[in-house]
Amino acid sequence: MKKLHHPVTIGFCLMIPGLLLAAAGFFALSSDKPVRTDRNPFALQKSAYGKLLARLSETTIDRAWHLGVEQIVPHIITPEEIEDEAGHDHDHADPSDHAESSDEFVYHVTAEQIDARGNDASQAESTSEEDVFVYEVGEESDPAADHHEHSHSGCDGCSDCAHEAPVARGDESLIERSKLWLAGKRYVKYDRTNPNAISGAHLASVKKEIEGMLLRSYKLDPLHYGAYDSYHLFLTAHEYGGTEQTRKRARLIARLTIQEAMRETEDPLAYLTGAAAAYNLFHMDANRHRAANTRMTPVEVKAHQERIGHLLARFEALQEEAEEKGIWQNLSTDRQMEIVERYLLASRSFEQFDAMLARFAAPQGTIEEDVASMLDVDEL
Amino acid sequence: MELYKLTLASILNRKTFAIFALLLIALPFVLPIMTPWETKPSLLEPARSQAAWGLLWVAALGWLLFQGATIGDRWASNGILEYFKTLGVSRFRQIAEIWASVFTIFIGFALITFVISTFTAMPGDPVEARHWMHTNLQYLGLFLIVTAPLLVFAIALGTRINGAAAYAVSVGFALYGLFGIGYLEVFLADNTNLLLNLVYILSPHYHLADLTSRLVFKLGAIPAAEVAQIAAYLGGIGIFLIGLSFPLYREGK
Repeated sequence: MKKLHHPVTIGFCLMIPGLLLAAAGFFALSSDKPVRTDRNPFALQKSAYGKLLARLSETTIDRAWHLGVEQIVPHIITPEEIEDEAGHDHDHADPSDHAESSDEFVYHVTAEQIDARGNDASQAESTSEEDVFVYEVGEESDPAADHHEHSHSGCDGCSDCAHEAPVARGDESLIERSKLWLAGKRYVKYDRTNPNAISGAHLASVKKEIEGMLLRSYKLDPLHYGAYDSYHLFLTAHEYGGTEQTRKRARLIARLTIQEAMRETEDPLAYLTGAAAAYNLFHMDANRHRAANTRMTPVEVKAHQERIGHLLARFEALQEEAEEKGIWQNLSTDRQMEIVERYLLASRSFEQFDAMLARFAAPQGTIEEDVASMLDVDEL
Repeated sequence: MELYKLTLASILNRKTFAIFALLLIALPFVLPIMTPWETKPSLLEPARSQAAWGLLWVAALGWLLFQGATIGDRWASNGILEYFKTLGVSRFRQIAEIWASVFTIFIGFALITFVISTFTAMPGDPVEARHWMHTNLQYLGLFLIVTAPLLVFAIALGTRINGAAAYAVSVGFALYGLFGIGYLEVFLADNTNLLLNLVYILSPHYHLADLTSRLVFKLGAIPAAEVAQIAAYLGGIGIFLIGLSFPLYREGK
């Protein structure tokens, strides 16, 4: 009798039925489909906190980018610095300073563009012919003409425009000076004094790491403009390790982003990200045709036009609704302007579709006739 | 009931529960405001519910299991349990009384979360509201089925080994069930190796009790039959853990 009260006996008397019950439950659960985690513990991804974390991770990616790829130390940008940056060939705070037209533009979103200030619309000029992600459909039409050049990739590790550590001028408050001192020490901590450049393998691993960070950000908030666009860049641009395989993935990611945006019924910003994804699909199609030396058919162009048009129309409708409900006023004026600028850029590019389709419809003349009509002369 | 009263008095006297209670009440209202909700105010309510449940899990992993492990360690080291043994309080009763005292406070925590999640984030649509209520009830039930036996395990382990080690083991087991399985899934489940598959099947799939995504994305309540299966599975794991706790428990160190 005493043996029955032995803890081990009681233990086994509970453990065995417990295991049997668990097994019965497990097999009942897995009879329809295998038991798998949803890989989204506590629903972090796509939730409000996911959106927050995606935004917060921008700074980390920014830093990793500067340290790893550009080999410069990120620093705090003070208004004075922006004013003093006349000799500096890239202005972090004003994307319009990068504006410059070029025959070929690479759709480029650096980590800098997804920084907290939201400068996520600047572009970079290609440094290599191998940069496949070049926008070009028809020689005359170039919706990307509004895009800007961003010359990071051309500034050779920024050795000629070295970022200076922030220095106190003396008239700041004690708190400001303390903050500048801390910023300066952070600069010193990461400043590279080794005269040799980092190895190719190291650079590749940094790029992979950044890609991982971008993927994580994208998963946390697929509708965040910066998170989506910068991840797309890493998948497509050759210089960041983009291959045929990853470009296929970029296509899928763009479609998923559009799908995700289409479900949105409240936030107009989702549709701007969706439109960016739709443009990316269009660019990728254009590049594919360019590589195959063929031209897009009017049907294909029309399909892209309709999709982008629908997304932009949804943005307009939701934005209007948000204004009526007073939600739009929750945003700061700067943020509102940034969004409107982004929208204007997208809609200006969208207008080019009509011109493109009109050219398809117009009778194909000789080059001489085309040029003559451009110059408004009867004959050359 | 003396051991129950003694343990409860000890917890109340230490007051750490008050910090957790305060955070459980305040943070679900503060954290959502920190999210980028400006263009989408409908994010706020699900975020409140998500914060409430997330914090309850934090309280379970950070406070509940720690209390169990350290109280088990303290009472066994101080000879309290041996004293109660001489009074004729059986091992089963001792475990039950310590468990009940810690869980009394924890039930309060769970109710705070349940009330905040259910009533301050209820959807306006009546059908969705009913589903919301049911999902919260299901969540509460599954959550308690997971945490209650884990506390027994932490207490028993605390009486056997050092409190910090007992906490590390029990919280490690819970974390493995919540997150670790997800990471190891590709390695453990997506193959035909019998041993690896067995490890996968025998692992505690506590992630099944995490219904946060059903609330945040308003997926609706789980069908009753499925909930029963999940409850049977998690309950089975719980009974196993309680069974394991009996031989682990000892009155004196």
